[in-house]
Amino acid sequence: MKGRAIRFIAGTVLRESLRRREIYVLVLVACGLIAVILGFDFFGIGGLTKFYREASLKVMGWTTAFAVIVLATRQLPREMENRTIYPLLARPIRRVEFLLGKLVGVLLAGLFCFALFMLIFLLGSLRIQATVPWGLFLQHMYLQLAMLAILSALGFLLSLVVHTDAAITICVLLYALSAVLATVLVHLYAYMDAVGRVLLQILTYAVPQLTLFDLSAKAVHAEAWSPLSWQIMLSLTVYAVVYTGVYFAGAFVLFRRRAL
Amino acid sequence: MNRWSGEARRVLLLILLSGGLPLLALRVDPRAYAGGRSRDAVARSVRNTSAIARLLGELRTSLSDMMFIKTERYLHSGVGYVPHHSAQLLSVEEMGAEVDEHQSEIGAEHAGMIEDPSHAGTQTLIPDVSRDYRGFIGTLHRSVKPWRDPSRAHLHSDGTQLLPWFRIMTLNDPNYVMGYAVGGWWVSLHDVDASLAFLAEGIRNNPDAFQIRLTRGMLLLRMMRRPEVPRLELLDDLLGDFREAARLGVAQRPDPIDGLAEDQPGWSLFQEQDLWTACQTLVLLEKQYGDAVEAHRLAQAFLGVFPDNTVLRNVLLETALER
Repeated sequence: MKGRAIRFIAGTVLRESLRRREIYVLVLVACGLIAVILGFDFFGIGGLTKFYREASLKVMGWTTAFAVIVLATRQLPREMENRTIYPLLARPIRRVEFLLGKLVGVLLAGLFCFALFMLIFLLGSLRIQATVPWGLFLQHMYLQLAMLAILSALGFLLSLVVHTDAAITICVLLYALSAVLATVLVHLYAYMDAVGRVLLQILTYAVPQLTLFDLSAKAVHAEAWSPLSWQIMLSLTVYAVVYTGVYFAGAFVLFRRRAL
Repeated sequence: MNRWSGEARRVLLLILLSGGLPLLALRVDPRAYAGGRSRDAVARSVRNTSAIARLLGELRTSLSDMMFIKTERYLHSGVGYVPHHSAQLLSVEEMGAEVDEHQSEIGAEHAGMIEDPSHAGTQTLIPDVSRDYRGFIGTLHRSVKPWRDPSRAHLHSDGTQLLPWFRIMTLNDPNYVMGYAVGGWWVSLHDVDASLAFLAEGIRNNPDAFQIRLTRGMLLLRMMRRPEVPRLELLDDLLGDFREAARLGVAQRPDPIDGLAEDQPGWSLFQEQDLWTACQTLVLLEKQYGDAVEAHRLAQAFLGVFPDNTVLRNVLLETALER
């Protein structure tokens, strides 16, 4: 596998996403929301930092996830519709390198989006003199990126199976409902018969539990919680790598079989 | 031609929809809908006569309910517990005492946090190992989210950070009575004037909610007990709030069955306790600061509602002797 080919494709994806200015629009909208949050006067009482932290982290998470989902699910269909895939594959680039380059490019665009948000978040924190819980905050960022890798790979896979709009919808639903899904499954289990319980077990492991990558609740109440241990971080990394790998492999198999 | 007529039909439909929906929305009176867990089923069914309001309003009240739950999580350092507030604790007086106790303990001893063993044993929303079928994923879930073993004491944190949620939940649903009543107590710990303004807004939006009147009355009563506050300036407002709270509460209370009004449709134990407090305090205030004849009359009237209230009975005897 050639690293140069992957870098080339990834660079193209990143440049294209920046050129299309979609990320900037999303970041601007999110900044507007954060500015509104900062501008709120809550009974004239200062120091209400948890609300700012929670709302900002949620806005940042949602916006970045949405940007990455749209970017990932549109990569392959757009290349095929515009026929721009042919000159790329005419080069000495293998399909796996092409797909991997796309994945890295989408993640770099997500990272860029996050970096912009981080800057805005820190400026906002400075303005209201809020302390930043660095340990939990950086862990949260890392886990969010791991989650975006899963979503990107899933987006690639779905975009090769269903229409782009359907792929976006499925990914957004999976992301938006992940927290509810995790809690509901646990509570449903008590009311299920033996067959239902087996199905729930399968569902729990077949569908990635994206809420496991959301550390924002601990970051909001940081005074009460320590950063995660390295064992938990490693477990979560492995969890993300497995799901990303499975979805990526599925996408690769479908992409390789596709006649271009 | 056919293609154009098809297009035209679609455009017309779009115009009708885009013009019609705002018109439809205008028909929805925000005050005609009352949902959420802070209201009982009968009160809701009486007030919610519009199907459109029911459909559109549920989202709003559900959001406010979610924010109310969020305040409970904030108090527990983010840990999600199964709601464990008893009916008594939802009464205005108990809530005020709870708020005071919570914040004074935190402020005095632990600089932001305290372990409260009184609620230990309450189940968490994310289950412990013994109740979780997920194995490895369950372990990760408990590590990533704020979670404490249910058998351990609750970790209580500074309630000041809740204030934005009370502001937003009542902006989102101006009929969220619980948001005003509970939020009023929390705001008063930091700024009494802001709290009084917040409660006044609640009364404007919910003129029939006797619990907001009672909250404001109790807040004024506390202020009056402070030596630096001129009593006479507050007395009229104070008596006005208690009079109105008692009048509204008595009018709303259902007729008791087997001597009990609570747990009847439309009336809960905490409402019964609030009305008890409003009637009793009003009579005592009238006796102490107002008119003894009026205190006698009110005690007599309220004994018809609460025949077991010994305070009312004593006031009745004392004022009768004075007369």
